[in-house]
Amino acid sequence: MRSFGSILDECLEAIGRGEVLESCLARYPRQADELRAQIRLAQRIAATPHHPPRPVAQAAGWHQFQAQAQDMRLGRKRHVSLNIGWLRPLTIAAALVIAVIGAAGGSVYASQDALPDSPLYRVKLTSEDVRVWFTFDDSRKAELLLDQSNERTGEIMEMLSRGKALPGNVLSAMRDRNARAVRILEDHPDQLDLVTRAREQSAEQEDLLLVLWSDVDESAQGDYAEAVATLHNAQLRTAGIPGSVKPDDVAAGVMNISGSAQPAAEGVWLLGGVEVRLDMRTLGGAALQSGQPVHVIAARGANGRLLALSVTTTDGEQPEQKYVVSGTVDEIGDNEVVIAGQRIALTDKTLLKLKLERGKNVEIRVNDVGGEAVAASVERGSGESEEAAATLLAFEGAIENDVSTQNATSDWVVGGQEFTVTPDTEIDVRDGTIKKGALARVEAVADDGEAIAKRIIVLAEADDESAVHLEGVLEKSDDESWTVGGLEVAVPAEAEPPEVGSLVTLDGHREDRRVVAEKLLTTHHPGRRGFALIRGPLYQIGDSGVWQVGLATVEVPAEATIRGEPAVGGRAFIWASRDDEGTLRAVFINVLRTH
Amino acid sequence: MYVQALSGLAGKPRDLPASKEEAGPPNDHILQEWQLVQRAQSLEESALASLYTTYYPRVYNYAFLHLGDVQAAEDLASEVMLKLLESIRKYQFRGMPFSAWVFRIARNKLIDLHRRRRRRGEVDLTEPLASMQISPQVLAERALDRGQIHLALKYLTDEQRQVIVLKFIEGFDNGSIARILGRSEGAVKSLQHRALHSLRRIMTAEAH
Repeated sequence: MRSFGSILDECLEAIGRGEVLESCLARYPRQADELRAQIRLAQRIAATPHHPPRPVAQAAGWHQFQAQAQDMRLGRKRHVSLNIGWLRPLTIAAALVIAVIGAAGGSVYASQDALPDSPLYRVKLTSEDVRVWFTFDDSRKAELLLDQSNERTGEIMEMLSRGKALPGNVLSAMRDRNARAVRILEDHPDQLDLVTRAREQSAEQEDLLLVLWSDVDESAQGDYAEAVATLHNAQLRTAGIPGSVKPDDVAAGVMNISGSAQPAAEGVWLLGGVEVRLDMRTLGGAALQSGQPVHVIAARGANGRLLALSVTTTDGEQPEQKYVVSGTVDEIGDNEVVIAGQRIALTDKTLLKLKLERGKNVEIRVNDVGGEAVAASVERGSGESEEAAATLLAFEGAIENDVSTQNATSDWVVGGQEFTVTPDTEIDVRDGTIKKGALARVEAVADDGEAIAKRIIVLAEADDESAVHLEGVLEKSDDESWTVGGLEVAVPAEAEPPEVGSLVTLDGHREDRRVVAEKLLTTHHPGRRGFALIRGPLYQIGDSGVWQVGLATVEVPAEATIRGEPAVGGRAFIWASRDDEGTLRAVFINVLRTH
Repeated sequence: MYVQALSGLAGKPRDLPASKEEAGPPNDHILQEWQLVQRAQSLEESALASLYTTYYPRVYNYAFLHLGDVQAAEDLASEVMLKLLESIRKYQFRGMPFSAWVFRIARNKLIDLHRRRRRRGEVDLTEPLASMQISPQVLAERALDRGQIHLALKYLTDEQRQVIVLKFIEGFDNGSIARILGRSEGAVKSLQHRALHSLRRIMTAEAH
């Protein structure tokens, strides 16, 4: 049976060719009434006259078009196209100034889409300043400065999506505009809407910067510290909270740490053995109770001390609302991405750290927003496309050195292996304390011979300090050893090496710095689609063999290897592969103990 | 040159589209336009002027119907024309009318604009206020009566609006619309039906 849409389309086409309406309706008497109504509506729409453009605007566009054509004929670089829209008054003001001083005609115009790495960016900022000079009302000026500060957010997102490091100019411009707006608003506390906007916008911008330490150009780290401090202080000042964060407090980056908070001294708390200052300047920390599970974002000062910028209490009864999916991009829609068979929404708040392309290996941090999977950030995955997670290593062993959190980067020795901890490394101490002898799980990527820790979970006291566990992809093998996730492993002589690219999971022990395998748990080749990795809280363990990690669903066949004891609320790390139908099947599941 | 080309701009009322932008075997109109495009690819001024005077008003109208804002529509039309010029050497005739290629640029620019606006937290001032006491059906009916179709179209989804504008205002056939939107022809037919159905329901709701 034909759909109504198809019949409607046939009649519209026929009428377009000259057939009369009634003749088409006669062919479809059952649908005639609805057809007539919709076709008449279509005719009414089609009869609407065109909205003609203003001749002056069309002529102005023509001059620009003609100029660009002339440049192309002469082989000159094209004019930068421009959306002046909201910048119209600015353009006029800037044009006036430039006309007066008779300099650099066209530069302001061409600078409006300039990004921070463009030579025209300075012109863009100057032209913004001109617009502020020409604004004499304080409230309007504050609003304009907040708009300009917000424009910096857009530029930062754009730079990141192009895979570029952030230079200092965009950070200092954001700081400058934000600080000027807040200073004006301090004299106008009655402007409640603007004060609230300043606070909320600063909070969003600070959240953005706090996850960007590694994306900031090394020469711009001072600007970064100043920007974070200013944005934090803007929230304190607009909320009437005394005190301020100094750039020096953020000089050595930030640290993300989750754990149970225990008071240690006046204003100082311990999280899994890590000392953190929590005081008036800490947002969200006012009612903190001893023993409460929290997530802290701390600034690391030049002196190595940690100052909590924000504290979020996490109710231990509720599963986390976040999870991570890694794998190759299957599909990209306007507002969504499909990865590892999981459909994840992209919003204007999603931090895209690369240009999304099909087949690219990415890692997506996903938030459960009222039952919808929404991407918080998308970044490059740990392997090249078609070799998903090739360089990822998950390793468990005892911490063997005296670990310090004072420096921006430090080396941790776990199970005899050295891992570099950076400000991007997440530290999870919900189940243990960072100290020599504690059992820790490190998820790392191999980078130029160095293992960079992405996440460290302190699990408990180690029962056997020489025991290790390893999960990774086989890179090469010979008679005596295999290289798995960048790590050389001694294997029993009788062990048959699987195909390169296969997942290898094993339990063993360390001999000096060498890993000796005792028990191979899994070897599995994922086929051409590569592995998908999912880690997060276990929402559901279905009887039919389907598990839900966060909002991601994974089929768990009988042959899948499960390490640990599965329980809803527990944290799972799943290596999965996909069959030709795209179904995600778990190969190896590591269930970490429930905190 | 430009003034000469402008003289051919007079608008004319339209009937339902008689597939004037048909895909399939190229008709005379499409072949003539392809010849014009080839001259424009050599940056011949008269050909460029002809394309500009043909497409600027169409793209402007398309942008206005989606944005409801004269200045924003002018800016978008200019941006599209500059992009057209920048990319015209890459255009190759493969049965798809040149106009569909132009409107694909326009659609992409429109998406970019919406993204930029969302990023800046801009509010669409043309959106009807929730506190307004006039019902959508009255507004839509009034808008159609006054030829303010952009106001009636605000009650549709973005894709439904795209199909209505491209089909009934711009006169594209389903194949070209499918290429512009990156959807299948079946999806276009279905969107067309859902759009007309929604508009009709909005406008007749008060009568029931």
